[in-house]
Amino acid sequence: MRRGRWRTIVALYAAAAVVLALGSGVATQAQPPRVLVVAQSADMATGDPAKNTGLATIAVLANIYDTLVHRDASLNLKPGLALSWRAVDPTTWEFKLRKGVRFHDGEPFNAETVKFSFDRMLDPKTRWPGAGALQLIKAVTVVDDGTVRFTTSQPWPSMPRFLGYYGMIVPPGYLKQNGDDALARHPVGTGPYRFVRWVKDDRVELEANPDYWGGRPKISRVVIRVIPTDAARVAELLAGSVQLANLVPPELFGALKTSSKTKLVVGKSLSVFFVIYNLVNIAKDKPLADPRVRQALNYAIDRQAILASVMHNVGTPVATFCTAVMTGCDTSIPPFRYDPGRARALLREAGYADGFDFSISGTSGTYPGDRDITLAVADQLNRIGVRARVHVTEVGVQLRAVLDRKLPEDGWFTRFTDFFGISTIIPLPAFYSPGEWSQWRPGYAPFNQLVEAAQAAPDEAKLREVSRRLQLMYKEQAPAITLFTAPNANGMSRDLEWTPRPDLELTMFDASWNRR
Amino acid sequence: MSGYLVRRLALSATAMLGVITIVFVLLHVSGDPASLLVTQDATRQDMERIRQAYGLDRPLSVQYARFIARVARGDLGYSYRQGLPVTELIADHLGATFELALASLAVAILLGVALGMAAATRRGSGVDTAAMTVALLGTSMPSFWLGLLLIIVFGVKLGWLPISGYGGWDHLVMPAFVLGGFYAAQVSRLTRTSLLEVLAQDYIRTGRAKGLRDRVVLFKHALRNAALPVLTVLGLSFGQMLGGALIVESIFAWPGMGRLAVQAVLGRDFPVVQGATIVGAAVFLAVNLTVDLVYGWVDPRLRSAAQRA
Repeated sequence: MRRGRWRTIVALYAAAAVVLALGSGVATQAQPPRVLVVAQSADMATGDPAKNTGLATIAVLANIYDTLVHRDASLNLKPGLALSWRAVDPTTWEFKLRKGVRFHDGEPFNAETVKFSFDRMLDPKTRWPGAGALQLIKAVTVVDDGTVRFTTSQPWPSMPRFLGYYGMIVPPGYLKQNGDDALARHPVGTGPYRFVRWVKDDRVELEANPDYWGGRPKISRVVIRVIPTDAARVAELLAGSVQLANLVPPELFGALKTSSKTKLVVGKSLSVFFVIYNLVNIAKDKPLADPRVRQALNYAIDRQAILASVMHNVGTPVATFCTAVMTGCDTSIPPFRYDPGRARALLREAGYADGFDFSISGTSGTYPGDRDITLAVADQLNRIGVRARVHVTEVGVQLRAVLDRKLPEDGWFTRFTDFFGISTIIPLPAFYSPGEWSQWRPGYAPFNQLVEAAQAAPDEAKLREVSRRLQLMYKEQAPAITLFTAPNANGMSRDLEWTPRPDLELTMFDASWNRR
Repeated sequence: MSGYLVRRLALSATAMLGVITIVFVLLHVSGDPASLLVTQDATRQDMERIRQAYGLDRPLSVQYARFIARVARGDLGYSYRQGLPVTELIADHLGATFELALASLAVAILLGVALGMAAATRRGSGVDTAAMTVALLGTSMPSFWLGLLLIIVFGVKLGWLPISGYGGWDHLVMPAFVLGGFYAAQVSRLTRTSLLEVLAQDYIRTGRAKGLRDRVVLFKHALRNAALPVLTVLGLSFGQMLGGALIVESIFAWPGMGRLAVQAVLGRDFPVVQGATIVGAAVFLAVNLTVDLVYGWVDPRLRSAAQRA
């Protein structure tokens, strides 16, 4: 009996050892990947596109749902669920819809479903966080089964561009029958992939929609996994168990470039890094009240050096608030060149030859490279005599201070992104005085007027013209140290072909295997 | 005994109310959920609308009273970010956490007790030194470092184990080893100390003098008596594991409570943070209570003391 117990214990340990050893054999069989495994750092929050506007959510849902307008990987507008669109008059857009499209559950798509989807999105009870972006839509009316009209409260030439990102069409019958929570758990759209399964915080499984109006996707099964740790995401790529990982941070670029199995693919970016000056009720005798000082700090930054040392040369210096891929961004306006001599001269002119104290509120781990970029900026400012210091803060606390206009620091390191891809959008929240995040208060009236003019532009030609004037004025007034684009860096398996999208959607419709 | 239980339960409820209150206050003073919920294109009206919709525009005292009233009815509310009931989200994540905690507990017991016994029975020998060195490494190696190291060796280089994710038992091996290994280190040191103390007792000498085999002395007499402090530590550790192991869960992409809670904290998703805290506290208190009851089973002296009282 006693001997028996001793044996049991030994046997238990032995069994554990065998189990551990056997585990090795089972997991190793490398097969040619048929299922495409994509990894991002966060899970989608919900399967209902009218509940969340988070990046990770839209990235997944863009496979399941369609919008009226599609955008290709260069953000050119293409027919989506709408075949064509035209402005009937300055405040009315008419969309002709694709015929014969069905939702994944068989429900037909038509003008009624479009009206239902937009009414639902814009209903305050839905609590859609993106409603503000589409607030100019006053009414959606059904003309006939294949035609809808959008009435706007003012001329809105860029509306189709907005509908290329927001406005996923949901099935009314499914929602009425099963309720909102059902769509949140089990999304049903018209998109290229059908929802199969969702294990929260682990994976979303999708399968190709054979009846997709755009043709059957080349890759039939896609799993979108959630791997929060960057290093683990890249390790999975190196091991071959994941074929695409998005938003890889700069410190891991090296591993992807050197491995024989992987490649680093950089997409166009819609994001800009800034150190935005805290100009809230700034007294006239403060250094930052003088535009020459604000410009001087821009001349003091060697953007290429920071890109080379921190970002592995991924990124492009930016002149103003827009990136090259955005509509109306004038790429002939050059970024501030690195000229410490000019920076010192401007400081002398403004009466600050001995420099001044300048504190920057930064984050760590919120944006790729954030902490290192901020430290590099501070270091470069110190070289022209500006005594710069960085305070790293948790992002929630920082944003709260920014919103309340109570930021204790003189500058705020952040990233602004415009997923609609229009050059005049970022100034609205970031630099227009009444803007939600603006620290330029009361600000500069001519700039504010130009931002308003851009919002009211009757057509795209006018929008481009106003945008150019706005960019020039921004550069001259310099309400921020404008840095460079934020990276859109993706680690990919060498046998996968896919073009990263500037809007960071992980649509796998155009992905394919490249068999060598 | 039942009076003792009632007292313990009342104490637990008070402790939970304290935890809930502290979390509520800290969360509400530290950041604005509306600002993190919207994109940068949102207007002030959007945020106001969200604040109104979730009652965040009400005075803190009103929000607190409503919250307590809801919890008392068993309603933990809806997540701001996901729009789903908090109870559902917790239920989705608790299973994975439970699996990982059980596997880690097994690692902690098997590895910890074995090392501790080996060290205690061969005190001062090379085995003792080796076992205690392993234990020291176990406690001092940060889990993110050990985790990544294992990933590189067993996942990338050798390809023996899946690197991350939730799935078959093979997915459990590395996270359970990293999480359980940390606790095993503590358990082994405690087992060694406790066992050495017991082995020096008179009744052990008597047992040996009676001619009992070493194994019998060790397992039947010494280990059982040495187990009491180890049980306490294991109970506490298990409670902590069930609360979610954020770092291990993040590295190995394990969809457990730790990640749910931390994502909610970062996004100021108040209902989820509060829900996770309440469940975490309840589980912790329940485990502690269980350990106390198991004590009585392991040590009959405690049982009779309770009866006398």
